[in-house]
Amino acid sequence: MINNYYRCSASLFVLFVILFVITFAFFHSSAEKQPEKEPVIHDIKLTQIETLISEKKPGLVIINLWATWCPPCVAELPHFGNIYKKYSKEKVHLYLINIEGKEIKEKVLKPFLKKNTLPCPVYLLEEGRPEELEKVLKTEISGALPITIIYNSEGKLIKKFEEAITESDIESVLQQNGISPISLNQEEKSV
Amino acid sequence: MTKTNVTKKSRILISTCMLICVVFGLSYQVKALNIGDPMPDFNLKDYDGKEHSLSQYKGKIVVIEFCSQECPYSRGADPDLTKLHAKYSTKGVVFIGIDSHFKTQPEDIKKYALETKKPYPILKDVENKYADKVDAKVTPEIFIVDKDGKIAYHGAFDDRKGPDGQPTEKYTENAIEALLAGKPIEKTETKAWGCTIKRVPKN
Repeated sequence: MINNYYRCSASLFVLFVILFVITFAFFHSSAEKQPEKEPVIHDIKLTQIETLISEKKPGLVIINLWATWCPPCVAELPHFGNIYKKYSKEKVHLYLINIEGKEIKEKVLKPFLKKNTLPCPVYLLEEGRPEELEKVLKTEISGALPITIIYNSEGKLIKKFEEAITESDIESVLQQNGISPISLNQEEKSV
Repeated sequence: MTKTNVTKKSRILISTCMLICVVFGLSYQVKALNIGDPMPDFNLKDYDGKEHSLSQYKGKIVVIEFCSQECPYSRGADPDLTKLHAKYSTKGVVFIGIDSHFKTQPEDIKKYALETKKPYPILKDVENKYADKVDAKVTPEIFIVDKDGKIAYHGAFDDRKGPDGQPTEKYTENAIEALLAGKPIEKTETKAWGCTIKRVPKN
C-alpha cells in the first residue's frame, strides 16, 4: 500500500515537472518572439541604381553588392552597419544591395535580416544580371561577391573592392575624401 | 626646313603612338582569353593522384568547371552539372571540375566528391596556377572547349541568382546542345555571380 502511494506521488511529481518545463518553454519562446522588429527592405531597380550614382549628392555613395548565400558578404555586413551609425547620412550614402531577386524577399531575406539585424535599410535588386549591372555601375565586375564600389558626388568611381572589406578599408576612403565620423565633427566644433 | 621638321616630328609622334598601342594590345591579349582561342593545356592531379591533361581529351567537347566545395553557390550548381554529365557524357562530352581554392586540399575534395557522388573528376589546381593562366575569377565559372581544343563558351553555369535559384537561361546546357548539333552558340560569353577564387596570398 505504502509502496503504491509513493509510486503514485512520484509519478505525479514527474508529471508536474514535465508540465512546468513545457509551459515555461512555451512562454519563454513567445516572450522572445515579441521584440522582433520588421527589417527595412527597399526594392530597387537597375535604373534607380544608375540615378542614385549620378544624383550629385554631397559626400560619397557606397554600393555594396551581396547575397545571403555568400559567407564573406554576410561577415562584412556588420562593418557596414557600423559605418552607417558612425557617419552622417548626408555625407555617406550607403546602399547594401542584395542581388538575389524579388523572389527571395519573404522566404529568405526577411528571416535572414531578423536573425542578422542591421541598423541600416537593405535594398533588394528586383532583377538584374551581372552584365546589366556593369552598365549601370559604369565598371567591369567579375561577378564574385562581395563587391563594394564607392563613387564621389560627381558620380565618378573612386574605389572598387572585389573582395571582402573591413571597416577600416571604408574609413580610409572616407578620410581621404575629408569625411570624418559624426562624434569627431562635434568635437571639432566645440574646440 | 621647318616643314620637314614638323613632318619628322609628327612621324616620330605617330610611330611612338602606334608602338604604345601595339604593346598595350599585345599585353591585353596575353591576359584575357577570348572565345575561339585555344584553351591552354593543363596537367593536374585528381584527389586520387591520377594525372589528367586537357590534351588527352582532344576530339571531345570538354566542360570545365572552376568549382569550390567551400562556395555555397558552386555547391548549388554542382548537382545540375551532375545531371548534365548523366545526359551528355555518353554523347562524347567530358566533364571536369578544377578546384583552385588555395586552402582546399585533395582530401577535402575527395570527401566532398564522395559525399555528393560526383561522377566526374575534380582536379586540384595547386597554387591556383591554372586559374591564373586562364584568368578564372569566380566559382562556379565554366569553360567549354570544342573538339578542336578552342574555347567555345566562357562564363556562368546558368543565370540563377542563388545556390537553389531557378535558372531562366541554361547557358551551359544550351552551349553543349549547340556544339553537338553543329550550330553556333547563342551566348558565348556571360557573367556569373559566385564566390571569388581564393588565391595564394601574394608576398
